[in-house]
Amino acid sequence: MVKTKKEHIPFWRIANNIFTYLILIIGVIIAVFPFFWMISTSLMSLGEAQGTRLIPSQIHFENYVEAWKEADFSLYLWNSVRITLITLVGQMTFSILAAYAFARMKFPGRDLIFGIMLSTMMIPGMVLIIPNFLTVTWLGRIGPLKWINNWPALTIPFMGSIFSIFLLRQFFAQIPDELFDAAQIDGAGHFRFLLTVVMPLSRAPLMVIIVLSFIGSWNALAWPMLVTNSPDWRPIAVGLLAFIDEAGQMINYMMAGAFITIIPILILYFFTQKQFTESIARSGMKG
Amino acid sequence: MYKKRLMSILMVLVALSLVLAACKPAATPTEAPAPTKVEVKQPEPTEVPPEPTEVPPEPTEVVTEEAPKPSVDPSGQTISFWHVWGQGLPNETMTAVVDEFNQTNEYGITVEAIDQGRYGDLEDAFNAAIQSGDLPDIVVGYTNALANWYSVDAIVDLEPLINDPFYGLTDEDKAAFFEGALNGGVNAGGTTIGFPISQSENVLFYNSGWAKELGFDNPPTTPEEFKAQACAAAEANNNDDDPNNDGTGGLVLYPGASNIMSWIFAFGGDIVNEDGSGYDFTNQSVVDVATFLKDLWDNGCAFQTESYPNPEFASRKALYTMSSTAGLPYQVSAFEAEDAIKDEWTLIPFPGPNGNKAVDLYGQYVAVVNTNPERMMASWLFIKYFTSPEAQAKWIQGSAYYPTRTDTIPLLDSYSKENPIWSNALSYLDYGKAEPAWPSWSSVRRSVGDTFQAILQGTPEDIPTLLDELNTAAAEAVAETQ
Repeated sequence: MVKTKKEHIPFWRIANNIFTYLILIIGVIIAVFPFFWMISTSLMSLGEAQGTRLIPSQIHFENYVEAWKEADFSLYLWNSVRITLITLVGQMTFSILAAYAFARMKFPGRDLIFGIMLSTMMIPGMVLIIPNFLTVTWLGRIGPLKWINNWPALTIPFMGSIFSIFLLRQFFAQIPDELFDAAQIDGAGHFRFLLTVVMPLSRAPLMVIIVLSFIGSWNALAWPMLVTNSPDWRPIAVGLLAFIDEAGQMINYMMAGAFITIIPILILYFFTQKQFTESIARSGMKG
Repeated sequence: MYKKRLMSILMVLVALSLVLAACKPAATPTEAPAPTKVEVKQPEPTEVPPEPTEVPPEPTEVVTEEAPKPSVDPSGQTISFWHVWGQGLPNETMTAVVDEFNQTNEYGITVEAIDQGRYGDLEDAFNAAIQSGDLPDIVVGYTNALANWYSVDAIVDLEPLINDPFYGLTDEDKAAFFEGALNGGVNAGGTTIGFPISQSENVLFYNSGWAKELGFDNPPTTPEEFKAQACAAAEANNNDDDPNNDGTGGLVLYPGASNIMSWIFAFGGDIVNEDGSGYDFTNQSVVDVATFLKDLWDNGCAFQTESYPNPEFASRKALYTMSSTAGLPYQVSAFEAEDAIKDEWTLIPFPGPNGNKAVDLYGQYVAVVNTNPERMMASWLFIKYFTSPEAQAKWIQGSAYYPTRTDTIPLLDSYSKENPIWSNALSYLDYGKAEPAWPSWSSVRRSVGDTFQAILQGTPEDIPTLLDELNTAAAEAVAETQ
């Protein structure tokens, strides 16, 4: 029987591992605690939820049913699905085309236009709310389409995303010119090259855009509150407001509603996690 | 293979988006009603010619009054009502009252009630709607917000509607309303811009059970008694075995404008200057309130919490809290929690010098949006219905607010018996006083909160300077809104 020599692990490496795991565990606790608190509070009575308890003394699953009914979540959920899908498709379409043009086509003023577009990323979103509101109001007045209280005001302003264009442009620019030359020899033009070569190669950044755009649309609150004044097109985040009034908040229902609200985001992230992390790792960017 | 799949997915997504967009037909563009000054015509005096008769009429002194005729025809109007009661029993009651009106009104008027979130959200939505033209017909709002909207002609003077000979209120009806509630809807220029559908009060929540254990059998009736009880409670918490409650026990002192105003009213003062043209934060009552609260704070008889102090009040960490009566359901829930101390508690008015007492009245005021005479009259008819004693009694029972007319109170007898704490504060309506219905009040009330927070953190010597600065800021706010 051959006696294997037991590998000696130096103390400093063990200490280093313990320290690393400790930091990671603390990080996990910090990241997970709000979710735990949300779920725990969503199962409490209102009295308990107002206090400092961490664990409910009695589980109130009925809070979810009440929250669903109180906030008319079925309508708001359907609205959010519609708004998010329309925004997503619009944003993907315009971002892919614009990013391709900036990355692979040469035209006068290309870099200047791209620079100007990039500079708008420095403007805080809230600053743009009033100008955007005035613009959509004006468009509603002059055009045949009703914008306020309708899907155009909720979706069209978000179809042009500078961040998405920038992210895709960086990826598209890395695709070797030889591929385009080969595609040209095969008779492909720009559009066909984009669809058949560029997009399949850029699956990871496309997934990032899908996830970020989905989250952005799904969680939107300030803008939808401004451009809608009836429930017909209001998204799910507005439903959560139903649990706050002038004198307090139904914090248990609100947390139940919040959990319902984030389920679609969790599902999407679950399915796109691999591409998402891959893309972030490649680009070194954070959303 | 892969690119085909990608293409297919893209095509499906595009098709889906178009289907979704078309799923709900775009609402028919409605023309924003042109702003019109309300002109509810008074009925013209009609002379009815005497019918020819062969029998000479006998001289009589009986003069028959002509019945007033309608000045406009509100029949068939569909009006929208923006409100802030989107959840729970208030929402159910609001919906029930609106449905009842829709089914029973003889003019075929249909009201669509739309929840707009909180008051702030509603104000944002209304301000945005002024731009877009998508205005409702009736809107709920704080009177300072209504004053702003009136100043840009978005809402109208209600007097012509209230006094309309055919559709308006009778003298009996008018007399039935609490004067304070009606006056609260009048702006600085004397125009009635809001009509009170109900009201709530800023009161003191008082743990009478704990106070009795501390040796106080009755609620405080003067600031001195108030301080004695608050300090005794704070001392009890500091001296017990529980280190977690040290520094608590007295008054939860959030120096928001409504709380400060309640104290100022209780001290017999006001913040409006003598000629009613602006604010005066340097008068003796305001100084006395600032000194009193500062003294409570410095002696450890008042403290602050990070959120609504309902759990603190339900666990003997606060003998008093200051809150709107609209917060009653939340406080009741806090006492139902497992770790709550099931003390007896009640609502009391703010005590002032010489036994004076006061509460700050908040009205739930509605305004009529400037549309056209027919729509405005239809809106008024709904408001009139909503504030009729029977409908108001339903609304009160569903919302836990207080009535704005005295003849609603008898209809709330059984509700009063079932809700003794609510019932307690019913009698305080007589001591109620409203905050100014001025456009500048929105910004001034923020300054009031900031100033009193600074007073608590500063030294007693800072009080005159800080109040002077508040006066200057308030004067600037008035100038900006004129």
